[in-house]
Amino acid sequence: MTEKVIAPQVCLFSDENLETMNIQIEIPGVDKENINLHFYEDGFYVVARGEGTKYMASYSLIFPVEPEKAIASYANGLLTVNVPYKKPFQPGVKVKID
Amino acid sequence: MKGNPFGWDRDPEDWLQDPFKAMIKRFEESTPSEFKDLVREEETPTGTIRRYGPFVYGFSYTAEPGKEPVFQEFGNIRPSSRGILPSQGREPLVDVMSEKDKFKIFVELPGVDKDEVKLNVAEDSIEIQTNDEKKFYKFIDLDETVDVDSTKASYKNGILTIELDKKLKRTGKEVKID
Repeated sequence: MTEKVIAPQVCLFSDENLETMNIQIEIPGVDKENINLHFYEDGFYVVARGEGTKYMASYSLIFPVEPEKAIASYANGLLTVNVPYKKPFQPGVKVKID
Repeated sequence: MKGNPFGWDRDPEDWLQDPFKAMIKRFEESTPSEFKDLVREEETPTGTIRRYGPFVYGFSYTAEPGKEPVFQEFGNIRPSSRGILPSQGREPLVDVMSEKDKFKIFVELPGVDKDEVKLNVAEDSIEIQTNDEKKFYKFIDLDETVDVDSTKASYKNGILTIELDKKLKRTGKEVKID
């Protein structure tokens, strides 16, 4: 059987203090040992293998993070990563929605 | 209207509305009770007006180069073989594999704890919902009847695997036509 390559659902969001970035990656069917997550200051990539499925994603980040301080956990097919920003970023201009 | 060249003795507006009346009646008869909230009646000088909706139903389609296109349904109604049903949560991805004597079903519920998964199996259908904040919901119609007591379910890494034995088919005898 050929391996199916899938782009996983990824959700990126900052915490309220704009200090930590939270990432949720949906990779159902994958064992913890088969997850490969690599972090850089300006991005990350993930490759995860399940039965007959391979999840692949790479993302670049606008604000630099501290990759060696990334904390990742995995449960029930959901990979959660928390990584602090290099410096808390200033909130941008709030745009009014008409 | 009198003196109508086509001999209609009814108001042409009536004639125009009739097919719609029949359609609306059919729609009302097939409407499940959960939809009553979406139907409002208003009294006006000319009679009762019923307002329906809003009903929302659609597909989203995402395609990336070299990847399988993904179709997903959304909205607050869900057409199925049992009529239109209101949807109750996010639709998980489901794979139903029909083998010779059993069904194998895979449901992706990433991020959900085992204890939060509710599985209800009937002879002709399966209902899955989760009690977590994601609120997955899926109703699966099976095209063959199954033995409910044979159900085996396991949950690992966010994938729910269900196995059900199909009920024995009728066994017939081939008859030669003279």
